[in-house]
Amino acid sequence: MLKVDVTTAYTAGAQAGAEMLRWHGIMSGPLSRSRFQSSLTEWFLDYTAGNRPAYPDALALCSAYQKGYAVSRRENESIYGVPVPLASKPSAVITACNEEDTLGKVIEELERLPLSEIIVILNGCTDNSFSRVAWRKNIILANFPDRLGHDVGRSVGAALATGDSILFVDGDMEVPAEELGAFLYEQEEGADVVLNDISRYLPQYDRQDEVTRCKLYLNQALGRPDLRSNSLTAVPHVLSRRAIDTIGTDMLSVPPKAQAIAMMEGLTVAAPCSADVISRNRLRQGNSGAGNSVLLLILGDHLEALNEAIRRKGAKLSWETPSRSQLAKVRNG
Amino acid sequence: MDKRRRLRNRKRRPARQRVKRSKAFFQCDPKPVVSVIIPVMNEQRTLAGVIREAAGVHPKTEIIVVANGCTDASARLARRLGAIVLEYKEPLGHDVPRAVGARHAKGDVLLFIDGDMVVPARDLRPFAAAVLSGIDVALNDYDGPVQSQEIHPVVSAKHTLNSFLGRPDLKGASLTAVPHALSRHAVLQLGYEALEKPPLAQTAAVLGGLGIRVVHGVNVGRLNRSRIRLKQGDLLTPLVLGDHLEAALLLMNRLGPRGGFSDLGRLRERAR
Repeated sequence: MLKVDVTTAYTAGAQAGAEMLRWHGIMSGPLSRSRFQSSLTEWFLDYTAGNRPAYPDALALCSAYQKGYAVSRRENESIYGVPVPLASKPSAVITACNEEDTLGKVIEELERLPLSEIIVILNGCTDNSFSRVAWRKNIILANFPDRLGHDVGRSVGAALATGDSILFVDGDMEVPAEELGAFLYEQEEGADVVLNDISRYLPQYDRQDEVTRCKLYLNQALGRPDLRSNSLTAVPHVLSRRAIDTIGTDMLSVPPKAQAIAMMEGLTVAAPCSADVISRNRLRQGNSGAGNSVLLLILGDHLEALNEAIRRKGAKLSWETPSRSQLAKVRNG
Repeated sequence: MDKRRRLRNRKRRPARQRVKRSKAFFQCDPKPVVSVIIPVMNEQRTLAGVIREAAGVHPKTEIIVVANGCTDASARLARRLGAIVLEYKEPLGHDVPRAVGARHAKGDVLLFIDGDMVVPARDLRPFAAAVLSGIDVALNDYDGPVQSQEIHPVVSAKHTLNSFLGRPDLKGASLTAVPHALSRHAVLQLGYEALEKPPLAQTAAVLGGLGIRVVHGVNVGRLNRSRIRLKQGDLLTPLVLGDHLEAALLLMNRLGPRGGFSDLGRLRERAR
């Protein structure tokens, strides 16, 4: 394990900041930020040299580096955003349908991350969601007057994205940038599909809803019980460019199917970090209570995923077994 | 005969004497209302108790023991106690003997139990009574161990299959578990062979509009002697999971790849 030596990090940051000031002087905000990001990543990779710390430790180190850097540059450290040491350039896709109250805050959190682009897909908005976004700089905005329906917006956003990976969030879910950074950091660790680990927020099985249960079942059926109820149906999640290319952006409109394909194609699917979306997700009509319409949609999605799996791997997937009589012999003999 | 085996036999002797005492307490009714079907493979330790309790389910009862792959005295014992015994040299598992027994059953109600656990008659009667009152499939209200987050894939498969079938009210109840009872009508509609794969039979029953209900809880997890012994590994799990996947496939073949669930206005043609 790498020791988290924040003093060293601070000193390194201060040196880098001083040098930057000496050679480049005063810079515009965006330029200063991008210079900081490359300086940070370069230092981080060098300092940790193939011994990547866990995300909280990495963030602690990089925050110290950032502080030192900002002091030397005589800038406010907040202009650099959250110091996530990323070597790649991720895109973010926000999908929203009538989320005027939260959309602005969601975008502002994303702006604190070292992203190459932020894509907002609005669909079927009848509120002021559009005007909450339109005035902002450096946002790619696609506005669809019709409701595209669940998850189609993500597929559209993914098709527009050019980054090395894509972070997907919803317009109604304010997750702090520090937590979202973990998903991007873990993607660089080698995961193609980074799911949100919601296990710690779930009750025991007999008190779980059907959605949570069918997500677990799909993972178990595909031989990944360790993924529990973690699912592409939920955000935030990150897909690598390889995952996007392998799965196909159109498949993202049925997330469990995309997840099944990812597993069957041998992509690395993991749920290494966790953001509390359960308590943050506002309850909408139609997504709470038994027998609601979203529940039925998601059950259908999971059957569709199983159907895809069965089409590829046969009726029993890989659960090949001895015959019933052979089994009886072993069990009772 | 080595010493260990002799010791084991000595231990068993009292059980045999008990069997002799309880001899001839039961006679199969020629026109039974309830047929109790019991798959048996080397269950001489529990069988007498199982038959005794089964006999108390209804005044007009027949008991059909499907002895398969027995190397002990199970079949002889069952015959002596008055049961109809169908004997097969080969082991058939749990589900196939149920289908075999069902073929021979003459009752209006087919009650399925196992030879390796004694369920008291008072816990069996509700299943027969439910079918007599018009229900086609009376299931055990038993969900398996669900008081944790770590859930066995079989338990998970049962719950989710019921959700897929639009019957979350059944929770983890399944034709895979005993006791359960079927009406003659249900058995004829499903076909005897369908009983060999219980999750498929359950799916066919729901799709065929049969009345399915959980009627009474018997904690078979507690009664059951540990079936899955460590050295054998968990061999049954893949089989049962495979059956559940086949059941999901049956649903999808009938109602489409989404099992009849809507897309909720999803405009797929707009996906890129």
